[in-house]
Amino acid sequence: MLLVFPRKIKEAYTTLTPDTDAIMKILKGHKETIELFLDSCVHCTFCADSCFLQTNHKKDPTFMPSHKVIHSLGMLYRRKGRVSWEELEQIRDVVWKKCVLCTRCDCLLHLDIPKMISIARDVCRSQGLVPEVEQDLEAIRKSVEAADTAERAAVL
Amino acid sequence: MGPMMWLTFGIFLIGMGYRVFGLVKLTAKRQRLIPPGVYPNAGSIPIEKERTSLRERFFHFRRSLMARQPVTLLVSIVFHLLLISVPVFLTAHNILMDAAWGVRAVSLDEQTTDLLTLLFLGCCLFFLIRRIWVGNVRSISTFGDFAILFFAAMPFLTGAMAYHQIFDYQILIILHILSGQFMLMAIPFTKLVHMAVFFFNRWAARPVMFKKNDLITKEFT
Repeated sequence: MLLVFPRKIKEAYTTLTPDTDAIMKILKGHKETIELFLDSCVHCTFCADSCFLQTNHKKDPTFMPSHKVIHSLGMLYRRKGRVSWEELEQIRDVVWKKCVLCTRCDCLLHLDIPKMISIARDVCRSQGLVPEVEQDLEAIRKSVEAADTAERAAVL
Repeated sequence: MGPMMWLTFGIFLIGMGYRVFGLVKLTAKRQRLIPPGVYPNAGSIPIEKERTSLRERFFHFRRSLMARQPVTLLVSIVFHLLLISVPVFLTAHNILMDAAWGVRAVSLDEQTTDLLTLLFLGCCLFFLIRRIWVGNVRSISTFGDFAILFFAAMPFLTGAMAYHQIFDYQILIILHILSGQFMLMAIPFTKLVHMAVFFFNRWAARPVMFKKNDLITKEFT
């Protein structure tokens, strides 16, 4: 069997799968607001110019606020949390690398775009997916702790 | 009025009632963004600073949609005004309404409504081209976006064609009625629901997104 399906077995051991129930628990907690957003966003793209990241990235559509919501939280909600690990990593990149939550995005219908991004961030955090900055912070914290315990051991 | 019209109005009104009820239910969670006691006079903090000087007003205007996308905004305003007003002030509709209920609105003359209909169809064409051409819009456009534009344009297109007797009048007028009814029925269940959300979300329910007893700092992490 190992010789016949090595790739499949390798995949089964190496790929991580997101916890759909945990994702759905977070999404259900904000069901009304997410539905309100996804039902009434008319894709008018009037929010585009209010994002300074988009204007500074040669008007790249992927930096547009509504694009970010649709391709992060929108995707999670549409698929009822059933996303692959790679897709969740993509969502992580969208909500952290393409948005700084400055809350200046301006929707014509006054839909709360930052709230949607923050929910998507919650989902990523619940799966242990954090941005590189936070990963670095965690590594620094651990190294400081290790140094601290080593110092204490030396003193004792 | 036939049974289909009653059904249309019934579905439209019940559906809209349900959606509005949902929106009102969301407003029940309305809380002050900053809980009382954290800052003195927290409830009276203005959301936006008053813009009094001409310079400040100019900078505000420069950031606004009117300065950034004036053509799209103007076309959008004209489109929505015509979408509501042309059917209401159309002579033929008023005659039908008078026959059915004995009520009628002010009627515009037929030539004006004909011109306004053409203007409306022009706006539809503008939106269609924008949806296909502009990168930002194309990147998030789905089948549904084209569909709602089609639903909105169909009654006007068939109405104008029937008025000018371009194709078979009987078929066109039936298509006109059916497409109008279909659009009305589709409003509560498609993205056309922004008809209600626009007014509710903009003026009635600004801070609804914040859940009970949640600090703003807690929300945005």
